[in-house]
Amino acid sequence: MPVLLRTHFKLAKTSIKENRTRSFLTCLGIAIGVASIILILSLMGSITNLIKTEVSDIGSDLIVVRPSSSKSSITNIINELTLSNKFEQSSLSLSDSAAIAAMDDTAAVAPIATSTNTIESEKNTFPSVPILGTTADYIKIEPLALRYGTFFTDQNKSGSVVLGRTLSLALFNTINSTVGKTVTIMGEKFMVVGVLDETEKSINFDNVDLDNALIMDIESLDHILGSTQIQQINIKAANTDSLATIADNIKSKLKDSKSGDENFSVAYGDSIAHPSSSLFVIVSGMLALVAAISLVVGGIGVMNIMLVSVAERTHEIGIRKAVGASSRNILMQFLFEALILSVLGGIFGLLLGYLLAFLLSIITPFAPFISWEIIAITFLTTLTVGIVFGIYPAIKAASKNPIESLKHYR
Amino acid sequence: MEKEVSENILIELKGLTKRYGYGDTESFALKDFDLTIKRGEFIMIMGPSGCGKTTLLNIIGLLDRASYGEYMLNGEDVASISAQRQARLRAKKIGFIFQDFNLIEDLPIIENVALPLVYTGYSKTSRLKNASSTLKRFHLDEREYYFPYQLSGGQQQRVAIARAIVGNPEIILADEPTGNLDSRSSHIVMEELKSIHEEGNTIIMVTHNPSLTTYATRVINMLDGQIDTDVKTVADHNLPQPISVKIEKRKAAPEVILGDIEPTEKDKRKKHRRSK
Repeated sequence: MPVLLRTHFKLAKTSIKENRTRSFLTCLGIAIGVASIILILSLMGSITNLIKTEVSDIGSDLIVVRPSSSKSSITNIINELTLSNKFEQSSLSLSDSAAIAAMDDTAAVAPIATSTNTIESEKNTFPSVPILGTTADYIKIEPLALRYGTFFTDQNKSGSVVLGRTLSLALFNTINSTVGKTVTIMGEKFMVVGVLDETEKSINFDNVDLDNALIMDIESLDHILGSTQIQQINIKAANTDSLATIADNIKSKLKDSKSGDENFSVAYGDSIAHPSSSLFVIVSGMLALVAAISLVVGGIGVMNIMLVSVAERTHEIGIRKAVGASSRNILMQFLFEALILSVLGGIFGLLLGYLLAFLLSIITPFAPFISWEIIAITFLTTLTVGIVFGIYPAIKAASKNPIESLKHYR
Repeated sequence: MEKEVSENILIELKGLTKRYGYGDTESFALKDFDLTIKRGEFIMIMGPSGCGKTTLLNIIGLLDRASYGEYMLNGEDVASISAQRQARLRAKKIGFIFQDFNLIEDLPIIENVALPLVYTGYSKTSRLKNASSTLKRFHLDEREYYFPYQLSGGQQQRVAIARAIVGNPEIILADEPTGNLDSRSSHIVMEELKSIHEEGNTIIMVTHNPSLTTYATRVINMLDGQIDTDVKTVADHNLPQPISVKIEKRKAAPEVILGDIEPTEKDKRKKHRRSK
């Protein structure tokens, strides 16, 4: 058997070499499918990695409370998306945040609410600017660098805002003389007290692009909008040793204040890094599905070319059978050829995918993310594609009648 | 004595019938066909087109199955064995020679010759060695890496004959091997077949050319799927015999040096189990 396998391998190699263009195009079909899967997996991995490093930068004392069920199943995610949750009340409220802040275990508590609104300055007006509502504790939890001015404090919070660097440039065409100027949001005037330094990462666990955002007190935001949806509560623990205990305490405290409803989740450590937005999961899932479809199309290409190859080589199949090849020998010969085509395509795709991921990393902050799991998934997928789409032509070749095949002229 | 005779019987066909179609379209390529072939015979089968010659050859060569009837090969009933076993017997015991050579165009002739050995489990080196020494016998050793289209018809047919005998089969089946050749090439090919026959091989050949019957030890004329005339031109005792001795001789000094067959994993396991 090993001798035969080696022979099949050699035969497949010869046949692929003989039909170079055709084999290359078939491989390309598989390669594009694999490359897109690699690209998406690599992007997902690098986003998770980015958030992970950010969490570890912030320190090991971070606890995050997010609304929705603690058991985040797929149906929950779909419900969240389909039930137009914009109009749904977030399960977290400012009183929850206050309750957590009152606990001895917590050093700083910053609820986060986001909104988008039109912002006017003396020079420009910008629609749909992301606004982040939080408390003065925010700066204690996230290591934000301010370029100019200060973050708002509990004393001056009601009339103050902090601008992201890009936003400051957009509104006032400058960053160094922005402090002290006023911006208008829904008719209310706010004074700029600080401008943030450029943030290195555009993705973080708050899901806010701080460079483009305006940060203001959450109560003021509540006041001008009428209501706010708290998207998460960031908590700095008083001590890092018993993070799990503190998280449990927060959980039970919140449960008490919500009269037993557990419609929130408490995360700490690496689980924060788990992409917070369910939309992210859905979108990347959809992308992966599209990539999988292109892989299927590639597989159909393999099947097509194998069927052509079987038809072309009917005479050869007849000769081989006449000199003693069994149907199984013929089956293996053609299956091997399909497998080699698809695995070769997989290897091309792996290289192509990482090349694309690398090119993407030049213009975006997503570093290519390589893991043996991704490579193993690729290999197994292409192997499966090869078998699934190669078996039918191989069976067709194997079941050919030798006498008829010998009559078949090349 | 009795036993020796039966040992010399290679092929026994009894009541062999091959039917095509049903009802109105029913026709018989072979009808109640009986034939006994001894080792060392050189049989020529003649007859008009459509008399069942090729069907007979295909059934003997295990490429086709009879509708019903008995086929004993070496005393073993092979009429109803699995396709897998038929393939193995084809690889080991039967060599085919065709009218239109049927070489694989994409392979150099040495690999064409080595083809049957692929399916009997020889390693690549021993395959090529055997193919090379067989080609040498047909004076084609300088063209090992030529492709079939680079050879003349006669040369191609000699390659095909080399392929048929490379695995040392017991039966060589030739379907009009000279049909596509000019008389000079025909002569050369027939001389090669003759010398193969003289080594004790059994040859069954289909032909349309009556002048070739001089090479045969037995001429069978077929008509409508049955034997019309059956003439032995050489008495049984004058066949290249005793074949058993010939076989012994061949085993002692093989015409073709065959390498060791690498035992398959299955065989190894079997051996292991047996030794336990």
